[in-house]
Amino acid sequence: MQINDEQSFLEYIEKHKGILKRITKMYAYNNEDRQDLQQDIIVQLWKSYNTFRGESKFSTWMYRVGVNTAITYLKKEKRSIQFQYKENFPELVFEEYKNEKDNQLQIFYRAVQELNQIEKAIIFYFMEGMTHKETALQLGISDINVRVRLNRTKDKLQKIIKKHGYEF
Amino acid sequence: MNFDKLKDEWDKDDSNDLQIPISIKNLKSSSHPIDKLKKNMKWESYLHALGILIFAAYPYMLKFKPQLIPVYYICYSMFFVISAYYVYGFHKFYNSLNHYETDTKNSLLKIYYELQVNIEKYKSFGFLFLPLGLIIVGLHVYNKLLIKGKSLDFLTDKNIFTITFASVVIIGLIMFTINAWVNFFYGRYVKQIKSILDDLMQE
Repeated sequence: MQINDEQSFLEYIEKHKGILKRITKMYAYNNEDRQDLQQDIIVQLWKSYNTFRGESKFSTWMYRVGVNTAITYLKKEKRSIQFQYKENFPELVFEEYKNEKDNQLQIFYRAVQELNQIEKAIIFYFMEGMTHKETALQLGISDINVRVRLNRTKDKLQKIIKKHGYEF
Repeated sequence: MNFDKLKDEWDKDDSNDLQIPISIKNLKSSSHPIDKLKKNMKWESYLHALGILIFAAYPYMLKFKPQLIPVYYICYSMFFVISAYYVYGFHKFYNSLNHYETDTKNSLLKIYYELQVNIEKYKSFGFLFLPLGLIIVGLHVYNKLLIKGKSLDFLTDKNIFTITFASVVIIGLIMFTINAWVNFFYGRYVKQIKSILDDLMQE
């Protein structure tokens, strides 16, 4: 690819880096994994850049490549098992949050780690403000399926948060 | 749980602390499991190919009688060409895109089937060594007989039965080992992808 392509690509990424940050926060739970995932999403975006023809918005294309990369970013099981179903919910695992204000969003990110890959995608698209139809197009499933799954995932999240002693 | 309030916080969460590299060159090589898996398969296929190349010197290492050498190389050339086909296939697989640009269901389907096909190809590439190995052993035994001034006529029925039985056991063990190796190193990831896919397919 030409230098111009690389420059325009990096400009696009810079402009939409919020998407990148939020995807990695949904799919990785420590700084090391987040950095690896961010890096890999950029690599995959760059490798697939020739498939972006400008017909759709860059952000729509970025959501797809980013979420699909994150969904298949399955690390060795022991790392996720280490996180799941801990009695002491956030403090022992999320060291990076120790000195930050323990706000609802942080609790939400912690709770999300107990969802499966598809549930994370559904709740992510919902938080990004996508409609059921838009989410359905991104995932390749029906609108009704998205609605049902979203409701189920919201309930599940509430239960996880409650289980760990929070409520909001 | 108030998701509207949460969405407000979500929207306010700025990304200024995230540093985007100023050049693609600054990116490390991918640590994505699929890329790692492809890379491993490519390098292991190169090692297999190297093994095939080493087999080229066998007739001289084992001091084959001249009349056996053409037989060996006719078989060897066949394995060489088939191996080249496999290695080229793995090289192409490694350089192929991961199909992340389509919707998630199609993306996972393509990745799953591509991995599945290539893992089966990888196994059959391993099995390719079996006939070559048997031919080498057979020619080696025959060569020993020729050196002693004997021929295959000297083999008794018991000898033939023992050789056949040993070959079946050894082939079975090697096939089991290759399957176990591939399932241990590559199969787990394919299973995980399949499980996500099954979840997504549920209406």
